[in-house]
Amino acid sequence: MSPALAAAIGLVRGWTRLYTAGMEPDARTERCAEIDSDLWEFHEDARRRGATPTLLALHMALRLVLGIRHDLVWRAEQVRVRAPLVQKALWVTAAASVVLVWWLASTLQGVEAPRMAGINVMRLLYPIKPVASVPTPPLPPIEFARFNVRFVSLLPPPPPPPPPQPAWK
Amino acid sequence: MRRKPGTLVPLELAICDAAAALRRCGGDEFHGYEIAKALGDAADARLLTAYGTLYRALGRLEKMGVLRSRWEDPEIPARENRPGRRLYTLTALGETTLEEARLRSEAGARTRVRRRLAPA
Repeated sequence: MSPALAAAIGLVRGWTRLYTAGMEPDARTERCAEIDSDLWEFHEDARRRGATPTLLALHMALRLVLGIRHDLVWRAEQVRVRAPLVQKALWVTAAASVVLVWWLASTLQGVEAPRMAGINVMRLLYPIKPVASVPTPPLPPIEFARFNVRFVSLLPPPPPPPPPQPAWK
Repeated sequence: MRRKPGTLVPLELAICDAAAALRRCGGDEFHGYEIAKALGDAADARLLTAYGTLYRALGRLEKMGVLRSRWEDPEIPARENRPGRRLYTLTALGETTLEEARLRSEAGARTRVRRRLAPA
């Protein structure tokens, strides 16, 4: 067997062992055995047809590279099979969190609540029971800016008013 | 790739087609490399289907019930000094699915031709 072919076979086998690592032993063994069988059949068939080992090695490497994306997706799908277990764990964690928050809120009832910018943080986070809060000062009235608009006339200024006439004339 | 339930993607359809062709030639069971070769011959492609693509599709088809698989008797590969083969068979459901897919694609092609020929 040529070094190139040996390297290609080793590469395919190595990659298969890598992406199946951590899987259930049966599924892993089956996938590795299936790829091993394909490699052997491919090798035998190419030998019978008289293909050069270098070309065969290149073909194997290409088949490996082009399928990497599907290998990874397949691996992800295998993980998803165990989803019910993960889902159960998530539900238990969520329930435990709710209980913890309830307990915390009831424990902190007598404690002075922390405030941020005058807002009762505990009341905001855990709106379970009303916690005594300091009345907030009323906001100052909003002042609107006033604009004095001056109209600048382009016309000449109006004539000055006539001087007042004496009443006896 | 998102798909409608009960439909096959082109590669799966090609695998079923190749499996049906192998069955017609007398091979009721086939292994992974055999189907890769049949696919390559049918498409007149020089490069065989990638390992990941092929075996993922075969697994999907088996899960759908279109194919069935079994590992051959370990005595046979031991006698022939080679690794054991996983042998696949096209199920009755697979044949029905293949037939339905063929009819659908033919109907689709007819509709496309009719649309093309319809006066504007």
